[in-house]
Amino acid sequence: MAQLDATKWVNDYGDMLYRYAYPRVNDKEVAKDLVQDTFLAAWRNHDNFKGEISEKNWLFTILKNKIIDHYRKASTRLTEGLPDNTDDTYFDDAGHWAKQAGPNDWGTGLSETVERKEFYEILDKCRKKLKDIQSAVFTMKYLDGLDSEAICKELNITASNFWVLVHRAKLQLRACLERNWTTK
Amino acid sequence: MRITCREATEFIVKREEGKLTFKQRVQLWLHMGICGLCKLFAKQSKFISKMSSHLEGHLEESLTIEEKTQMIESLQKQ
Repeated sequence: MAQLDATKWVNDYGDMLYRYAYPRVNDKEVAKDLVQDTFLAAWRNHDNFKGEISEKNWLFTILKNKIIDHYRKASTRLTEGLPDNTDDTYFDDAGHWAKQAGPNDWGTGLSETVERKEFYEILDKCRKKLKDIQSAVFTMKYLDGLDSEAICKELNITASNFWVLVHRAKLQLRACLERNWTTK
Repeated sequence: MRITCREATEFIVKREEGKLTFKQRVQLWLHMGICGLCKLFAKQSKFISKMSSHLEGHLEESLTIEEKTQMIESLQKQ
C-alpha cells in the first residue's frame, strides 16, 4: 500500500472538495462535514483504490455520492417540504400575478456588462433561502445541468413534484433577486 | 384554451428544458402575446438559469487552517 499522507491530502484537495460541496448543500458546516467524511471514507478504503482514475477523481466520486445521500435525506421529507399552492403569494385567486408580485423590468441588468460579483453574491444569498429539497432540485438542475428525468430518478420524486419544486424555486429566486439587487 | 399566469410561468420553466407539448407551446405563445409580465418573467428566468450555471466559479470559499488541521488529525487517528 502506498504511503498515505494526511497533510498532503487535506492541503492538496481540501479546498477543491469544499468548493464543490458548499454551493451544493448551502451550508458551511454540512459542506465541511461532507469533505471530512469523504477523506475518512477514502482513507479507510484506500486499499480498494486501484489507481484506475486519479486520486482527485476518486475523492470527487466519493464526495458526489455523499452529496446525493444528503439530497435523498431531504427528499424523504418531501411531503412536508412540497410548496403549498393554497398559500400563494405570487398569484391571485384567478391565477394572475398578484399586486406587487409581478416582475419589474430589470433593464440593463440582463446585459453582460452588469456588475457580476455583486450579482453572484446576491444570487447565492437568495439561493440559500430555498428549502432543502427545493435547493437540491435547483442545484442539480442549474448548477450540475442534469435533466429532470435524471433528477427525479436520483431523488425518487415524481415529474410533477419536480416541476412544482423548480417552478416555485424560480419564482422565489426571481422575487428575491429583484428585492435585493439594485439595478441601475 | 387560455392559461393563467401561474400556468404560463410553469410552462416557461418547463420550456427551458424543452418539455412542452405542442398544445402547451401554442397556449404559452398566445398568453405571451398579451401578457407583458410573463414575458418579463421568461427573460429573467432564462437569465437566472444562465447565471446559476456559472455561480460555482464565482464563490471564493475555502477551509480555514483550523478546519484543515482538524481534518488532518482525525485522519491520522485512523
